[in-house]
Amino acid sequence: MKIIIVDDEMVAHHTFLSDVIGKTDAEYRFFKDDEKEILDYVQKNSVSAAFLDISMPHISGFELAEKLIAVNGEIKLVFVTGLSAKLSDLEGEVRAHTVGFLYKPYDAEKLRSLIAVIERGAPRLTVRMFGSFDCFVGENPVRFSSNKSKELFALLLAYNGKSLSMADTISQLWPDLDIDKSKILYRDAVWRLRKTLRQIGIECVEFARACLFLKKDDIQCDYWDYLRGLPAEYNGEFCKSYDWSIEYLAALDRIDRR
Amino acid sequence: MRIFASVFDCLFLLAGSIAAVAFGAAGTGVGERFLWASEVLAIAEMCFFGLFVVIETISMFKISDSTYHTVLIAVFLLCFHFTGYDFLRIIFDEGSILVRTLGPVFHFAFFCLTAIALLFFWDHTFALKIPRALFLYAVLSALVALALYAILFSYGLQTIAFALFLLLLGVGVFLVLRRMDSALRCDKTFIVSEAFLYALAGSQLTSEICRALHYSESGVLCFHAIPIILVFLSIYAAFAMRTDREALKASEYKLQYERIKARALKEQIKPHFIFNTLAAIQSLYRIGTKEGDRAVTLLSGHLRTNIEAADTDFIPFEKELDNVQVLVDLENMRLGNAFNIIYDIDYADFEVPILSLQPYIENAIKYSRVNEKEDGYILISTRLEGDNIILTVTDNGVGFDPAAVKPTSCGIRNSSERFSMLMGVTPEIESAPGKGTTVRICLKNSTPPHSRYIE
Repeated sequence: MKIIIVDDEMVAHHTFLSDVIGKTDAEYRFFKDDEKEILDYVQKNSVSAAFLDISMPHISGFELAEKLIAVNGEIKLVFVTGLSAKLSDLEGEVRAHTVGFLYKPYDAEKLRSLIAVIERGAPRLTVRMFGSFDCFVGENPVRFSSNKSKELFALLLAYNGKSLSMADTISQLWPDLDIDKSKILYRDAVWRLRKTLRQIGIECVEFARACLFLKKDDIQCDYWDYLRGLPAEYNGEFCKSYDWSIEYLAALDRIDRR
Repeated sequence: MRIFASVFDCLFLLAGSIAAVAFGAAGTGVGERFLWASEVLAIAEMCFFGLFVVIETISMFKISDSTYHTVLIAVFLLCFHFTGYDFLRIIFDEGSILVRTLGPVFHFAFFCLTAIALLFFWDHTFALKIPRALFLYAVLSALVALALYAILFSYGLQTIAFALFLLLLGVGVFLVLRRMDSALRCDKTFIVSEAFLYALAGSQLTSEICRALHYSESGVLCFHAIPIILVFLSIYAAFAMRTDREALKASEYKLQYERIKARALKEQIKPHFIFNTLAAIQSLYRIGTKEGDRAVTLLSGHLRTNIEAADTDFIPFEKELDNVQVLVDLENMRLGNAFNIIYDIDYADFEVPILSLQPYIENAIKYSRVNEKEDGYILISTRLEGDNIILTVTDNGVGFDPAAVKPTSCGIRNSSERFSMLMGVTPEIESAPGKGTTVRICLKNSTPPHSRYIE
């Protein structure tokens, strides 16, 4: 996979980008805002994506984007900017080809996830429930902003597509707390989970009032695979450290014996 | 527009005075020997009118909204006060029982309504603490007036009405004299109301004297006509002025809002905070690039929001919460002891002024010391109650005594000002030492009412 990065800044400033992209499978090349050289290169090589600085002295990122699309109809675009830009600032073709924005100073995680999207299309969530519970987007572990929101997500995944009500969640996650307090903590966990999922770009949970639904399409989960008889490594542990996992363990052990 | 109004006022005034004198001269039926007296009175009255109408016209420029309404009501009532009696007199025979009984009642009723309207206006506009001397003066003037009228005429009910009228006049004059300086400088509306009172009292007095001297009926009616013309003219002028003022107000409003927002932005980008964070980032890079990168991302996110805020008035509540989270993450990174934020968000589909929530969180971070407490928290909560969204920021920290603490921080005052300018609500802060702090904002779940002022 080839990526071009167009920026009028000195190449020496790109150590950071080199460092991050260098650790991925992508091949990359830096360009100054020299329109002819860039279009020439894109014509001769199959370039998957272009990272374009928006404000450059010789040609703006948006103008360059249009020309790149004319040369290579498959090219994906990422706009790089010091200020802020939104998808709604873009129009037509350019908008359709844009996969995201990268702000300066660069966010390494965001950069990695953009490259993953360019390489593999829409991100997929990989879930590991056997052993201790963890989620990954590509190679990167998902960082939940609180333990309880992580546990909530684990419970929702364990429900395996069934809707999860607030009452159920509270009885599993905060069994000893009084109802008012636990409702507050429930809403906090829901809010944080929603934020986390939005951040990683996988909006697989539908948040209804006092109820959560899971869309299973973009998720690959070892527990679900195991239930369907697909190969998955079950080591006798399930969502370690979550109290409610015991009943699932019992059910899993019954399957195991059969 | 204003010039037209003033010119019309003056022209009508001139025409009115000529008409008054001419009618007075023409209607010489019974009391020819008193003609000179009535003419002198009429001319004096017209001068009186002229002076006050000019002042009143000028004063209309600087009227405040509530005063405008009350003065207008008073003017209308005065208008009825005059026309009512005259209508009765025109429709029925002067000497009929209906006029004799209903006329004074009409006078009295409308007079009382006018008095109430004007008193209301004084009370609401100036919230006067009426001094004791004022009561004394009012009572004295009422007694003198009553005695005078009782001696001069015996009109029964009407006497009481006019006595009250003079009482009000007395109060008005007293207030004007006492507050002339400030009234002239800050709100000329005072003069307007006084102008009406003087003018109408003058005209009433004149016509009453004419009637007492058996002066012709047409002359009397003519005296009544002039204040009515003037009253209508004033209303017209007021309306014209009001449209002008609305436009002026909207632009002033916008200007003031821009000033407040500019201050908010300036306050938000705190050099102290930025440099400390940069120093923290320096250290974090010594620990590892990953930690450093994360901190740089947070700080740049924070700065970006603040810079973007210059072009934005409202922001979705959810985004404001994201901004808050970035701020808290930065503080947690800097201070070591983490702050525990709980998002009790029941409803998030609304907008708030940009950077309006941050000051409350900042304050909680600075003063509440919840991070030193084991179960310390800052709770951000939203609730939908009917048409209202109740937004609260609560902490269970050390709290403070609102009475003892100097006016809250600039950030909070600024946020509060923008909440009230843009959404018409005022955040309430409740706190007591050891009891934590609660900020409660009750928003209407609809388009912000004042957003039309902001493009």
